[in-house]
Amino acid sequence: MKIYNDYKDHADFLTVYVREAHPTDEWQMKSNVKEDVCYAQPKTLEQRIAIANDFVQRLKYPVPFGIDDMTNAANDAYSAWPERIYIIDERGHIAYAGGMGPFNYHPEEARAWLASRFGEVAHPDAPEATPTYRRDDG
Amino acid sequence: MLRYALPHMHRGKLHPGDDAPDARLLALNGKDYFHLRERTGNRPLMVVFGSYT
Repeated sequence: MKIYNDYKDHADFLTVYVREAHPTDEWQMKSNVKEDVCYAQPKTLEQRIAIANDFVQRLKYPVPFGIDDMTNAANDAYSAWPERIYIIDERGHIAYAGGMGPFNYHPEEARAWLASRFGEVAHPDAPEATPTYRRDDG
Repeated sequence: MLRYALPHMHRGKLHPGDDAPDARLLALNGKDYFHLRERTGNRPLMVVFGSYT
């Protein structure tokens, strides 16, 4: 996750795992089948914990992580599903509220906010890419 | 598709300037809980919500 690597010395990061977007027993995507990411919607907290750990281990995901429990309280409070980005400032206020994914999910906007605070991080040798934690995002 | 997606799709009610809601989250070890707001205060906190599939 490029944003994390670029700004981890200036900001804190947290990934919150919420209910699955494309489980096998709901709206499964062909890309999930192709990439062998096939999980039913967790019905128990243990199942949700297991999938979250699979994600972190398989992708070697370095970002601090939290799991929404089966009450989906975090998901509800932040209208998070299926994916969304927020930035919370030092005073505990929403500084950036991203749109609902996938079509309005724009990590580059969060990057722009961080860049406005801490400066841009140049990657002269890297191809242009939209930072994302989801492997099938552009 | 819509039958599964629509109940969970919400426009979003939080806007810049709003107080960030707190939420209790579970650590990956499945045992320890923490609160999202415990991670705020010192520096900006970027929170990415999502899932694996």
